[in-house]
Amino acid sequence: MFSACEDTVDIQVNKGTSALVVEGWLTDRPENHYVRLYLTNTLSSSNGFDPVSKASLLLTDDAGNSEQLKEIGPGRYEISTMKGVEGYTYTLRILTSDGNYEVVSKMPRLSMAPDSLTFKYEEESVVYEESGYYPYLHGQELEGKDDYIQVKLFKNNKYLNSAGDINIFPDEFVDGNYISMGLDIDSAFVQGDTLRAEVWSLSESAYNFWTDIRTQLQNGGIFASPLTNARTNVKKLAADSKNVVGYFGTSLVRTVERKVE
Amino acid sequence: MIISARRSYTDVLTKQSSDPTIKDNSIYFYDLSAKLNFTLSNKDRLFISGYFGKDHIEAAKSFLLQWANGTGTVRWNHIFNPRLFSNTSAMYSSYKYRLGAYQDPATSFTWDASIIDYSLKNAYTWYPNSRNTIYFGAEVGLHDFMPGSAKPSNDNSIFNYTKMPGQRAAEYNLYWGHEVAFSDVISMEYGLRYSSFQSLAKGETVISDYEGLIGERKEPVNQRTFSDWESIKWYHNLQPRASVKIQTGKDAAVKASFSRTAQNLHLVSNTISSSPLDIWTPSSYNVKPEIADQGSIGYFKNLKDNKYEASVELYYRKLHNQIDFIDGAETLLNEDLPGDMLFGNGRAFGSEFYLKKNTGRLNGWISYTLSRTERKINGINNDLYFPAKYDKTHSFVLVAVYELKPRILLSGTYNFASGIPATLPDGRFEFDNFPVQYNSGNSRNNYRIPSYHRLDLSATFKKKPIPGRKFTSEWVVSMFNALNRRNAFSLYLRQNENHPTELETVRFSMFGSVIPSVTWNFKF
Repeated sequence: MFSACEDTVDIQVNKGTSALVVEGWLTDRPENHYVRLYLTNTLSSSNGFDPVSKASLLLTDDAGNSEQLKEIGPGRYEISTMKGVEGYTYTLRILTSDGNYEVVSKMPRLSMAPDSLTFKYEEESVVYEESGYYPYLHGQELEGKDDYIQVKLFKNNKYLNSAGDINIFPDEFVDGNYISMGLDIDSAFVQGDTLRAEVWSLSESAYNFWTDIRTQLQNGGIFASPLTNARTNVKKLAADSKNVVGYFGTSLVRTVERKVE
Repeated sequence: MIISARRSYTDVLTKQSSDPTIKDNSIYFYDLSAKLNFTLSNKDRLFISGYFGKDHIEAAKSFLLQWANGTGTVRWNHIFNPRLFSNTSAMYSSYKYRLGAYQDPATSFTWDASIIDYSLKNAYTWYPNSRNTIYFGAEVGLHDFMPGSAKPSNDNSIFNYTKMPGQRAAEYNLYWGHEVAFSDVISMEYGLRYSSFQSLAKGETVISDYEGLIGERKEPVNQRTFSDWESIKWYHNLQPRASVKIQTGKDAAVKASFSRTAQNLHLVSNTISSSPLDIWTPSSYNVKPEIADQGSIGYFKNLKDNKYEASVELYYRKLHNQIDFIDGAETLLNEDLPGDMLFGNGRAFGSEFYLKKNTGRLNGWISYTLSRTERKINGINNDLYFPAKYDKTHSFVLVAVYELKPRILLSGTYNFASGIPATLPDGRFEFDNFPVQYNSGNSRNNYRIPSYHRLDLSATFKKKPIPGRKFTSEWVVSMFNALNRRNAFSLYLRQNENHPTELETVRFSMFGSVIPSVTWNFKF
């Protein structure tokens, strides 16, 4: 509603201190899973990130399984024997030279298994910036509150990683209903595009983590709120361990696919 | 009797546009006000006034924002004797706002919120003699808050109807104020306000305590239920104030003042600017009144026979029970909002300098303020003081008006202010191919956006008035932001559109160019 101006500027900020980043997720898909360990970088750096090697990662669940993760590349640790199972509680213990950490994550149920995808054509308007096809996801939401899902989108096999493509939903206002809802996308689809939508079940803390990332990237304008760090579920085991950010999550995943005719 | 009405006509213009992004919008506001006086006797008069206004913004039948305000007052003025009279008033006020999203029938909803106030006041004014004026009175008020109800707008909507329970509060106030001029040298004003604020149950109300780690969402415990209209909590506040003026010379005076105020209405907002959708909440079991203590002292002097006015003032303000929010707070439709709140103190202090030239072809004024306003909230910025979101270290204004010729006036205004604070990250990482910002010190308002400055110029050309004719006119040519400066309103980071794994810093400005204007004023 306001035609205000935005332009990019360069800023100088202090260096700050680096933190350990834990990036990993376990699903029920029949494939190997990975945990990346690396250090945060300064804001202006355009280089990659420094990996954290030779750390010890032990994954256990409450059904008696355990696995010591193997480092298959610098800072990249593989989960190859353990699998994600609904309702199991997983504990990942990380020991590095700068500190020791633990993450506990219970595999949440998938409260909305997707039935199908449809597309609707919209003309350019105030609400739809581009004319084109906009996707809708359909599925039955299971009764019972405090379920959360994330819908990851792949257009022509390419993962959509713009802030406008983040789709996360709580069931608070739609619990138990049959859902037909529009998915947020950064740019419209055209004829011939294929869309693959993966529905990932999230725990409340994983939903908060993704909400924080989305808020950070969509913040701005007149009603911006102060920057907040994305809430992590990784806990330090000793007060003098290096600070840690990132997330280790567990999800059930179901997929639907459709082509724009 | 006076009645006035007005309506904007922006929507009449936008409907003419052939551009669909403009044509399908509907933006208008209207208001209506009326005032009637009745003389009941030679000692009694009755005043009745009412106002109703509505603002409507609708985009292509998909998105709707509405505000409506209505208020009515009945006031009875009674004269006891030439020195004592009273005003007794009954007032009703309602503030409603609505947000609607209708683009997709499956996710359509209408969200409504409102605040309704009723009050009764009995106010007396008494002039015992020429050097004393006394005000005293009593007030009673009732406030009804409905902070949000979200209704699906049709049967196919996937949303369930949700309604926040809302709050109810009553207040009872007594006050006394006295202005006294002891002599030509010393005069004083003091007062005392005693206010009682009562939080009442609205329907079946559940009250909880909140427990958890500071800085994180607290969970509700110890739930207990109160029935409709049952008293939940009282807050009593004494609010004294006093100010004194001492004439130190023919054209000079010293003024000093002190006051304590209590605020029972709290704005629930964690954004840079107040958003039109911010909700208000009254003091309650979990939210105490905000208290402020302020002291100030100033020296005022007129120079060169009142050609110049000058003043210097210092102030200090201490704030208690300040409210802020946890990271990721849910401020809308949150039944456990106090679990997301954080509390602490604040302080503000500063000095203001002012110089004004009253006479001559060139006149105007200069003012400069050096100040600081900061907060110390448990759970934010590692419990250390941090600058408040509108803190400006320096603020400077210069206004000049020059009479070039008897009918040509030139004027200019120059504004300078330090940049307000912003919270920016000092590190970054990546998650699932998304860039994530990291504030390693967990600090708040750790950065200042660039300074603000703006020059406005204008020239006024008055047409020579024709003797005998009442019609006068003038042309005003002006340039707002004559230096063409793009002042930053806020600074934030976002993904680079072409490389989504990278971040760039964006400066958001309200305007970024010179805005010229020409106005023709006329009177007849």
